[in-house]
Amino acid sequence: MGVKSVENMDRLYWLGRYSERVYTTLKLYGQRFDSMLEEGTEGYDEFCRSLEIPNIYASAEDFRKQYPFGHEDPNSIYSNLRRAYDNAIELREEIGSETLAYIQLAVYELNKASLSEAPMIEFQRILDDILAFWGIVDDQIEDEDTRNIIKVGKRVERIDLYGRLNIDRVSMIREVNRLCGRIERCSLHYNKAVPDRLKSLVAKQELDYPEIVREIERILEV
Amino acid sequence: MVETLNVDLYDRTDTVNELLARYGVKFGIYKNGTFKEQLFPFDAVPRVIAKEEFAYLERGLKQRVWALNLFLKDIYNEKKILKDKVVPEEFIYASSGYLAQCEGIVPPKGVYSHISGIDLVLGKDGVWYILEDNLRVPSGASYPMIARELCRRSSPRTFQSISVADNRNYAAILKHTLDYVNTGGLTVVMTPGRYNAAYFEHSYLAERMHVPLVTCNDLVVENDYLYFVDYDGKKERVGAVYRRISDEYMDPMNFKKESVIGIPHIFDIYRKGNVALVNAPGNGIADDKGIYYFVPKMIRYYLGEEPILHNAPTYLPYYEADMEYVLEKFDKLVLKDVAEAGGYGVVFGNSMSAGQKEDFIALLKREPRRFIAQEVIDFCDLPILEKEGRVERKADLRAFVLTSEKPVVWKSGLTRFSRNPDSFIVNSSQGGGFKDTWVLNQ
Amino acid sequence: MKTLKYRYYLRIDFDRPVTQHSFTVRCMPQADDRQMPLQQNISIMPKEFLRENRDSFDNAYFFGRAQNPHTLFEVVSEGLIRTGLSNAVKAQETYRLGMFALQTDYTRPGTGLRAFFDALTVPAVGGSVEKSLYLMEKLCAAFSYAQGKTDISTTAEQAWRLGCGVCQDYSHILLSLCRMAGIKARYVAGMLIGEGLSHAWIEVEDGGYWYGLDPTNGVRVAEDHIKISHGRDYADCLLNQGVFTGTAQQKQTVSVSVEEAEH
Repeated sequence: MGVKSVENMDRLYWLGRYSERVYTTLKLYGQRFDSMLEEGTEGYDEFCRSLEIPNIYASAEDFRKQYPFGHEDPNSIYSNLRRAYDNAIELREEIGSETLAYIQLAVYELNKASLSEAPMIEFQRILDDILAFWGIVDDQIEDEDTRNIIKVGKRVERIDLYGRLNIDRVSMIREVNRLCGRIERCSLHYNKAVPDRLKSLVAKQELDYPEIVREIERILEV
Repeated sequence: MVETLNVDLYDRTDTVNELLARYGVKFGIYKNGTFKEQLFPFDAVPRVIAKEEFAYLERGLKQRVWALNLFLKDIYNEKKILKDKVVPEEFIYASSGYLAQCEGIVPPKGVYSHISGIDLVLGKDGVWYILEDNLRVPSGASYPMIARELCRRSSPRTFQSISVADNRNYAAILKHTLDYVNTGGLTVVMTPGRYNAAYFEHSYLAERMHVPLVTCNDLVVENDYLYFVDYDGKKERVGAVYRRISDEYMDPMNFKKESVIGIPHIFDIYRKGNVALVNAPGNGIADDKGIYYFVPKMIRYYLGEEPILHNAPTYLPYYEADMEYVLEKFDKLVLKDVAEAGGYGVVFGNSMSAGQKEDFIALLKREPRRFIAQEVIDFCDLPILEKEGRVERKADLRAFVLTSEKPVVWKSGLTRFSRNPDSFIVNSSQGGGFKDTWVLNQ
Repeated sequence: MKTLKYRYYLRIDFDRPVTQHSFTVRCMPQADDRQMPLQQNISIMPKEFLRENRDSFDNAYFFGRAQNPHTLFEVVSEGLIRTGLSNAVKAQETYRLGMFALQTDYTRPGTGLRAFFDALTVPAVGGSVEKSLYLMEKLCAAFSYAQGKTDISTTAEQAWRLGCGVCQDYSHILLSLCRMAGIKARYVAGMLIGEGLSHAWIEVEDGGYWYGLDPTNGVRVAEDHIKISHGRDYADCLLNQGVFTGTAQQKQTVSVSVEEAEH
């Protein structure tokens, strides 16, 4: 479509970020959910620490309900999916109804999961929806810039999360390279020094994770 | 024929509704101060209109909308109809739809009502009656448009066996209508924002027309032109704004000062002819319920033709003879406050208690100009599918007439029905659902 | 006939900077049958753009925007004008004037004004001018001039109940009375010789002409008045309007001078 407003640029970027946040945290939560079946109570504390979110949960049971579904909890998967939706809903003409539909479907699935005995089934569908969303972004959005902004958002979020989770160096290098290749090709205004600093940060054998997180969060500071 | 053949589609009501949910086909409402998005329930049994019957409606609707356009141009310019005393002045100047700010303005290409939503019902006597004309920001076309797409997907067999005029061309007709009046530059859809009841429609129409959906934050007036400001601060001229916000909120410098969803000075450059505002500001005077009474007279006055479509029998208590009739037949009539819309301010004479009736009549005598009275039309029910099976419910039809060089009637329409068996009010803001409207090809 | 030298000066001081200030000013006298501008100048600061236009009552106005942060906004409109060329201004055809027959939110009478009007005996014979002069006389006898009791939002009925007000209130009340008497009447904003602020009066339609009546001074408009704009009431004749971004408090100062020019 060519012309893009300030607000839509922002929405595309954050749609990318929140879709990634939901995807990665949901996968992590799935692993935690599985191990909590036997281990029971403990473990969620460490989960919160690793994601650097406050442990506001009263019990393992509370965590199991609130973390994925809590409407009031700003760090819940629900809240993050809701933010993805809030951005997407205002981008219908930019990304298309077919694309928007996958975010909408993920919202429906999460609502269903909150009522389910076996929420992992719905969680799987949410992951499918998000993967389909990324797929259709790639496949159907004609405007290259629109695609790139969503993808930059997704990459930024992934590096941010991987930094917090202390993910292995090889994965980190891959993500940084993907971001650096992408961000040059979109019209977002970004801090031109950040990509180079990220590259040099991941060139070190011992990764300074907190520094990587600090750096990536500066990317749109211009 | 239709009754038996489209059964396949009826069996797929749930599928269609699931698809409507998938695409977020919703409308927003405020309940106790909080915003909620609700699915707009779809009923698979369409309203079916035969080819010849639609051709008749088409002629009548074109005639009516053309006359309304001429009326608007006349009222804000020459005022011949006042000179010739066809419409009393008081009905114009005392109407909240009349905007003095529009005096002397002829919009680009002389089109006022680019998109008209004309509400009709089919009486049990087989006659179509016009209920009201909506010439400000009529909404609803997007619902049958997307529903058709999804019905075809859900039940190809039905559409193989019945030849229905394709209604998915609405966006193309609308785009043409907007481009026709564009004064140079972009065509955009302007929304008050996602918390508007019809936000789905705003965004869907923008998508289908491949034009930007904008809010006041994206547009700015500079010198004598309107511009879209992009992310890089670059300005691109805008020549047509399909604005889905009401006149009063459009420009704080010319209308409500406190409006935060308007664009300062947009009306000043519109006055200069440098942007098309769609629909034209000031149209409210033509869909005023008091003016409705005069539409058949307008058709005769401007076109020298007999009206093809009928108004519901209407009385103006403003005229003494009509007041007498209204008081005499009070229990048989429906009374409408001309200032209200959306199914509000409508009361049935026979539903009032003695006390209410007394109060109402006192009010009516005090402010006769404020009300119209109409015969209650016994209109045809349409079948809808409920869990317990088929039931009959009240339904109306909103036909869409788009005016560019000439008025064009969209071969479909929004059929709304009331879920409540006792209700005559089919407005979506008061519950209820919608149906597709089929115009048969043969 | 007189030649008047006028100067209208408006300044708005903001207590902190405002941006994106859109403004409309209607403060330039125009030519009509009664007055003819000889020299005119308008200056507005700051501004990023300024355009001229005519509104639906054919009043001239300027609109523009001051985009960058500013704490002061000034308008000067000055010039020379010849007045008293005629005692009336040609009106449009009667059927086009219907809007001036109806009360507006400012002029709609309540029980107070209604009772006052009902107790009057408007001359049954004579034209609108005679009738309005009668109404003006009765109003002047019953209402007194006082500043600070009313403000720009005061309606005719509210002012009437207070028993005093300024030119805007006099004009709204007289409009209300005239319209109750079936006379087409309009509000006029302008300037008056020897008056330090902007002024307001009314015009009534009689036999295809508009005649000016100044109820604040109880006189007919002749050559001491400079007309700027007219409309149904005050709201149609705002001398200046603005919207801006920022939380500033604003202080508005207007000073007007009108004097006879030296020959």
